[in-house]
Amino acid sequence: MEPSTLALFWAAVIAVSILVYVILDGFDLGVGILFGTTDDEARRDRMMAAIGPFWDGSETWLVVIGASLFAAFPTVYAVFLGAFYLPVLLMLIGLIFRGVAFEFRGRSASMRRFWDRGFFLGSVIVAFVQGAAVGALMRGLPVQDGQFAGTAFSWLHPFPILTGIGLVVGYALLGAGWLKLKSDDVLRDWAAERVFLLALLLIAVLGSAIAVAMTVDISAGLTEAAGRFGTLGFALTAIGFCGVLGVLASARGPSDSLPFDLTIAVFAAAFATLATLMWPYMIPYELTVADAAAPEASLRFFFYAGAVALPLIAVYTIGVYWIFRGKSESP
Amino acid sequence: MTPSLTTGDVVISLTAYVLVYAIFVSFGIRYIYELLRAGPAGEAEPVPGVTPSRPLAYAGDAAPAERED
Repeated sequence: MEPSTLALFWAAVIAVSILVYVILDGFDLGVGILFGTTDDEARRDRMMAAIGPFWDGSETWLVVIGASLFAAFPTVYAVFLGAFYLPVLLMLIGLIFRGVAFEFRGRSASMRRFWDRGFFLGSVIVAFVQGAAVGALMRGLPVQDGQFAGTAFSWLHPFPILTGIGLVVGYALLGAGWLKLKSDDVLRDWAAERVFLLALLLIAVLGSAIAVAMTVDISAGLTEAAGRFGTLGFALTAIGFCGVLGVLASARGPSDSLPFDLTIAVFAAAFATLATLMWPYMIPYELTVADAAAPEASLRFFFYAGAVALPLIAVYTIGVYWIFRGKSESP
Repeated sequence: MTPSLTTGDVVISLTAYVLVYAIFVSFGIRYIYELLRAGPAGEAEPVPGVTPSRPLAYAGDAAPAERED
């Protein structure tokens, strides 16, 4: 069955929103992760200032993804939330904790360490469960008659744990690149050093994830994915790997924007690789775009809502980054 | 109905949300209480040409909240 044009439109909206979300919330979650690796109060305040105007707008894209899935692909939404009930719960608690800690830490003297810790742990948990969910999706979810047929812990396996750690490292790398881009002198040099170390760590973690997928955690989903890995997949992976090498080479270099830009390219290449392995499935290898799409009348109705809301979100997102371009001001 | 969702999952998630929001709300109430206890930082200067029957005319001159530390 071929998907309709409207189904393809909504699948494209969701794909683009996921990539934008991963890059935008990725760097501010990453700054939250790096935040926990230093005790220097002045440095912490400057790290917060570097993401201050941006971080809550990033989560708009998570809402766009959730709402579009719910409206346009209800079957995928049902399977995904059933399969990741506990990870999604952890993610929401992590996001809530981060948001509240962001506001409270500056107003509290005695509890400041508690909020700082909450900001760090919230960021780590959100990154981990997102990465683990991608790993578990690729590994394969038990689906019967269009419904999730596993338990609350079906996602928990070695491969998803490693992809979870991989995304924590990946987001931290984005965050370090962002800090190099948005700050100067001491924090800039500190961030550049972190970019270098995290890029090495990312290669190590992703290498282990692939090794685990081929040895101790072989699954039907991963075997199918390996079989679909063709010339295009290879080319995209090669681009991603060259991107990581570029990040390593430019980490300590004179350009403040190059490490961050190259990290975005790495994420885009990884995302495109995943897309080639999944297409036309939305839940690999159980539900396709055509299987999961809502009725045409619903898709058309939501199209008018999307035609108003999506350009609006795009415009204010671009607006915020334009207004707060350049180095961030010291708090 | 979601067939995979068990009672245990629902109890865990409901408890977790109640706990998390209880923590935040209690800190929020404590913060507001401490702001009220501390009171305004200074007396507002009289604004020429404005009477107390129009309190919102003073809003722009209200003392900003002090940091706790």
